[in-house]
Amino acid sequence: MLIVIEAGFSVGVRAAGKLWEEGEYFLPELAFSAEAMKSAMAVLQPALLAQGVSNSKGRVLIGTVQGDIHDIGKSLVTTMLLANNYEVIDLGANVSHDTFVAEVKARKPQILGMSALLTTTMSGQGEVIRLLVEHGLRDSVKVIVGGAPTTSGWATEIGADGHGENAVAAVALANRLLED
Amino acid sequence: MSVPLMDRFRSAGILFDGGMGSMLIAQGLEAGWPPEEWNISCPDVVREVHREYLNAGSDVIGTNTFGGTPARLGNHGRGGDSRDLNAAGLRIAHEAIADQEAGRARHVAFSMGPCGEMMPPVGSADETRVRDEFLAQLQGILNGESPDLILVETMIDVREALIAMEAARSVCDVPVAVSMTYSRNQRGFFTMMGNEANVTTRQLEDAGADVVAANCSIASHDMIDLARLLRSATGLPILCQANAGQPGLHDGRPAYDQAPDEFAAHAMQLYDIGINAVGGCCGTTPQFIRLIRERLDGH
Repeated sequence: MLIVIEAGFSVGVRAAGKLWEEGEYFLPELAFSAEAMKSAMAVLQPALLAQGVSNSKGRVLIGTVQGDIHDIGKSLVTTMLLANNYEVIDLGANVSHDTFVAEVKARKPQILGMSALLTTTMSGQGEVIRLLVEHGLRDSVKVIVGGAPTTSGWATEIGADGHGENAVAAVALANRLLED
Repeated sequence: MSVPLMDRFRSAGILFDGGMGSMLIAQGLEAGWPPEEWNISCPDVVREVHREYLNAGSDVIGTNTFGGTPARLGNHGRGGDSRDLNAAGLRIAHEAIADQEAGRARHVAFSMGPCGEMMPPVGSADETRVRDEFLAQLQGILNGESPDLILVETMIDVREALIAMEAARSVCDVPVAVSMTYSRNQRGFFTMMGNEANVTTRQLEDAGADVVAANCSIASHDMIDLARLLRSATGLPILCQANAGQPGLHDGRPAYDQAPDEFAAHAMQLYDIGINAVGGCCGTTPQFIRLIRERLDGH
């Protein structure tokens, strides 16, 4: 059953991501591939679990920060991570700082991903990191950030572990961080 | 009676305004708060922003109604106030113009951004739902003084842009400008949905847009290349409103990185290409507009 994912759906989603990077695909094509992947995983994941098979590279907790309702980029990152064998817990959009902290504590992800699409909400990413430090949780999780106004300089400034320029880059970043 | 805006569009050299949201944030609008709400709670601040743009030399000012559909206002629990907030936004813009001393003719563009519902496959809204959002927003312009232009802007899906235009046509005879937001990739200029600039411009023209336009996403340098493409694609009047470079944080506050004089120099190149109207989008301020006005008047 793993082969259905690894030789089929994952390859397809990764190919869609590559075509998007090359300017050939756009949001609708990515949405279609994400939908296909999600539908497949809904069937395959429970079956894999029942067999005790795990192909998970790690657990990622992801969401868009407080005051920001933009969902698309974050959902694309979720799909690309799923296609690359990550277990992803998607908290949705407009996630409060406290929810991020509580979920990190409860779900113990290896990676926390935060999205912000507005210059007015991106400061929330830094605020959550500050709260993680305050709660003694910062060392337990790698933090990655993304969204249109964010840069690697911004990631450094707020003490994140990395910045993903797009959904494909976010996966490469997650792979790199977990290898360290 | 002043010259109708569309007559002025037949020649070049029309100057729109710059960013509204960033100006309101500078006045204390908090992150996540709908700017349109200030049309009722802080009308003086909104009117003052219009006044600053008029004083800087804008011929056309855009209303503070960009996110004025019930769906977008509903994200803040204000969906039921759509008509009132849009009506107030339009009234404030007219008031700001009425306060000006006689002289240069000034005009109001009623701003309509994306409705907040996406169509398949990215979202699940059908045509009727999208149309109803725009029709609800347009309720705000049906009483009182009409706008001189309806500016459908920052559109990423040409289907939604066309629905907005048709909705406007169905309730009034105000001219409609349709502004898409294109980014540049290896293959040209496309919206996030993959609508290519050339093809989209022809679609808008065929559908009867009075003005085709591009705004946001790109800085003025890229806008020059896009403008050449748009100019070759259509004989319709064109409006270009670029961002002031790229957003980032400066001392913990959002800031755009382009200098106003460079933006103004690029604006003059846009007019030279044959673009009829120029303004600014995110990060542009009255200072940007003033510098363009000075160059225009000395041109």
